[in-house]
Amino acid sequence: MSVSNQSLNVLNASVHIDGKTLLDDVSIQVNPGEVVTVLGPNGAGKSTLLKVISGERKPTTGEVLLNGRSDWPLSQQALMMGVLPQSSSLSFPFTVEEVVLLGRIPCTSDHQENLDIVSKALKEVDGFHLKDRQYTTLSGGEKQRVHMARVLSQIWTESELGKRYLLLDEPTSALDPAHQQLTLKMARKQADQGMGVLVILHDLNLAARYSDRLVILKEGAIAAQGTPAEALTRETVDAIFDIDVTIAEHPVYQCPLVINN
Amino acid sequence: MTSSSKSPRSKSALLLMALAILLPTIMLLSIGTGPVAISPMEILLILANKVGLTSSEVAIQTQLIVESIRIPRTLLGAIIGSSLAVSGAAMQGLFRNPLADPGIIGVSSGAALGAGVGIVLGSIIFYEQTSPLLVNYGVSLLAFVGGVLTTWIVYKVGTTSNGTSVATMLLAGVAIGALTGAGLGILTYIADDTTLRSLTFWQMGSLGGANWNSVILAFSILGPVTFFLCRYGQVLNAMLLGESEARHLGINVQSTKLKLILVTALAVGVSVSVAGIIGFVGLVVPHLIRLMVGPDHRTLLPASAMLGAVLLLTADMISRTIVAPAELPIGIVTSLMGAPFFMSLLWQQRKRIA
Amino acid sequence: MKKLLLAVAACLPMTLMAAQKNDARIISAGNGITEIIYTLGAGEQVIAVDSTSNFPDEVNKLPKLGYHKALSAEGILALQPDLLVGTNDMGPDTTITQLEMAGLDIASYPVKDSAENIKERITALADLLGREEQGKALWSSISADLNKAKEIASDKKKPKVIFLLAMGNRSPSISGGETGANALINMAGGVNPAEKQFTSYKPLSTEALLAMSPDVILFSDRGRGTTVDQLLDIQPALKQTPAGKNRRVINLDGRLLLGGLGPRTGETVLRLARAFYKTEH
Repeated sequence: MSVSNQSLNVLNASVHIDGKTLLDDVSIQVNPGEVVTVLGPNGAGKSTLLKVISGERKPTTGEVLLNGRSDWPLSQQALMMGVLPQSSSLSFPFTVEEVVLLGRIPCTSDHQENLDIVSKALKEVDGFHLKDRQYTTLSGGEKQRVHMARVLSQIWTESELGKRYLLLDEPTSALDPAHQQLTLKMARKQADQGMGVLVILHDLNLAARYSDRLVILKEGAIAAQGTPAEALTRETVDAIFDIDVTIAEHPVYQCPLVINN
Repeated sequence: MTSSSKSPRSKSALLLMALAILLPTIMLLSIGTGPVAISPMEILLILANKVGLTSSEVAIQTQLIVESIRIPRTLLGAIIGSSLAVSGAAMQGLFRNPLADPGIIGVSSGAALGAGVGIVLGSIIFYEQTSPLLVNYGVSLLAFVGGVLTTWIVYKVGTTSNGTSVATMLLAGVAIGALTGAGLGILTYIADDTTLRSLTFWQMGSLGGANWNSVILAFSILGPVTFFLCRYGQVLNAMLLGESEARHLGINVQSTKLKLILVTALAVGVSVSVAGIIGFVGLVVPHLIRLMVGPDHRTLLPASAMLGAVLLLTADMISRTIVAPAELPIGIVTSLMGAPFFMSLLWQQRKRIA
Repeated sequence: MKKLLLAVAACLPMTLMAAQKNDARIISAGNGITEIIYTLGAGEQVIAVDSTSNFPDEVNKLPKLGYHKALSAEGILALQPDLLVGTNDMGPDTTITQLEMAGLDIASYPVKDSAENIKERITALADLLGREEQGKALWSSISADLNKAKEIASDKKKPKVIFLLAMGNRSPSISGGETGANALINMAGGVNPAEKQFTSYKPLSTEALLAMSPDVILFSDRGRGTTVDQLLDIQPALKQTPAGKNRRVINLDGRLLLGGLGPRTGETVLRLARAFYKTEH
């Protein structure tokens, strides 16, 4: 692992609060073109890690480098890093289009260009037909996709400041199976087009199917990492998630398939 | 560009334009309304004289009523209405709660207590030793200090190293409200009859004390404050998503919150100290705008500023004509207009939840 | 009586200034001023009063300007008055300044609950209105009554008298020091046990009231027409006081006290002194 000004790096980050260790000496690198998935049981520190990366929480020790720098002004960081939270508390009657437009706040493009990007981003998440709906009347899954489109539109255009990164915190939690697939395909596509993507997931098979690398956390520390085939072994899954599984080869794709026993 | 994508923006532009015409109209109407009948012609003549366009003869008393009573009063009403409405809109955005009012974070109640202390203790300690004028200024200053102080306490209670919790702040606002209520109760108890009456009248709010000094004071503080708040449209839009989300969109949330809270406290504190407690403007006005053009703060803030002025001037015209030659305190008028409106809002929300 | 005063006034030689004032349109703000103006016979000139002015009954037919500390400059100017008379409490200052700028004559006087102040107010208002003779007559009749009261009370043990403001079933408020009621009690030769304990009007517990053991109780119900029996039924504890046992409970018109003592103080004090010392029933 080498720090460069073309990657997102977490270096030996630890978070201690009130004598509890939420994150214990974690180092992760996300390169442009990669999908890195963070797995782990509840309370393993996944969301804390995401907060540390997005800068919402300062690590007690260690640091986070975005394209080689840890001291970006927030307004510049916003052009390189989009973060999709687990859920959003928006309760004002914006239209869907207006919500997605909020993603363009850090950008300097004109209104017409913003509208074009919003339309494209909505199409990416299969949400274009929702454009003129009132946000507050949407279902949970629809809302999640709208926010995904918002985050996409935020880092839609390349930035001269550096590579772009998409951080997704359980983006599939409210989605039906079809849209789960669609969302991760979209993430994969963004990576293929040059973004670095970091996803938090619970579904081991979705993670195995779409990720380049997995990072599995337990009690705040990295318990296993590597390609899906390296990280997802019967022993690690049993040790970390406390479930008895069989790991098979996926019949169609070249990735492991986790089967509950 | 499709018509649907264009419509909210053109609707906003239309509303802002309509308000930009309505506001000066209402201001002229306000200058023309009062117990003394003055024709629109005379008013235009006086204004034209003032600017140096004409030099016609106008009765001295008419001129005086227009120049030193109605114009200051109209200007004061406009700026106070504006800043109360903008503060309300900003607070609702900041707290992501469309029912929030500057009063909710304790500014009004703190200012009320400050002024109460000024009125009651001032009359006990300084009675007959100080000029009444000094007492008035003292009351204004204490109202402002009280407002900022309680807001600061509420803000501090709601803030931890993890940021400011809106829920905690609202609860702290309720607690502070109860405490200041008790403080006012004590003041009511120790006040003598005369002081009690002025305490009550002050709490009901009035623009009757408008003069050029108060206009200058109000404009020099509330003008910049209103302008400052109006520039926070896009930031507040982002804040509606949630504090983390706003941060991800590149906004320095902590410092934004601090600035908005202090500036709102300043706006409400100054308004309260100049004109007493005038409720519901900060709640009703942003709501009306949202009903018309949606929640986009880039329109909401300037439109609220203008509609707030329009609404308060209308209320003031009612206040000074309905029981002439006496005046109905304007706080009563706004509450009479605002409280039923507030109830209907709650009613609608209740239906939506159900 | 009033007609007579007016007739007398018409025959008197007056200065030009006073003559002007004689048909001046007057606005009076403050009960302590309004009542004197009417008693001096200038009531016809009054065109509007504030909300505290409610004696004599004629004033209730006039336009009301609201509370005398919350006057509206324009409301006053709209009535085209020549003179605004009020107490020193009249306000707000902005309104007064605006009225001064509009060229309105404004006169204000301090109002206190003392015989000396009543005299000063009557004399000043009589001068202002060109009714010096009526002023002198009024004061001499008041001071005669006050002196009679003093005679009645002299060399006798002072009865303990409290004044209570009855408010339905709630505990009544008692007048402490610096109140009109306290001044009346003292002038009529009584002693108010609450005088030293607090100022203004304070609601008092039944126990504290019994501890004062008043010989006489004065009460005002703000014109609701409560009889002594009704009062004793509502506040049964009063029956246990010496005043209650001997039924020495007197209803006092609350308007006597509102906005300072005035022209009726003399007769009231005399009536009270007679009641305190039982020289007449």
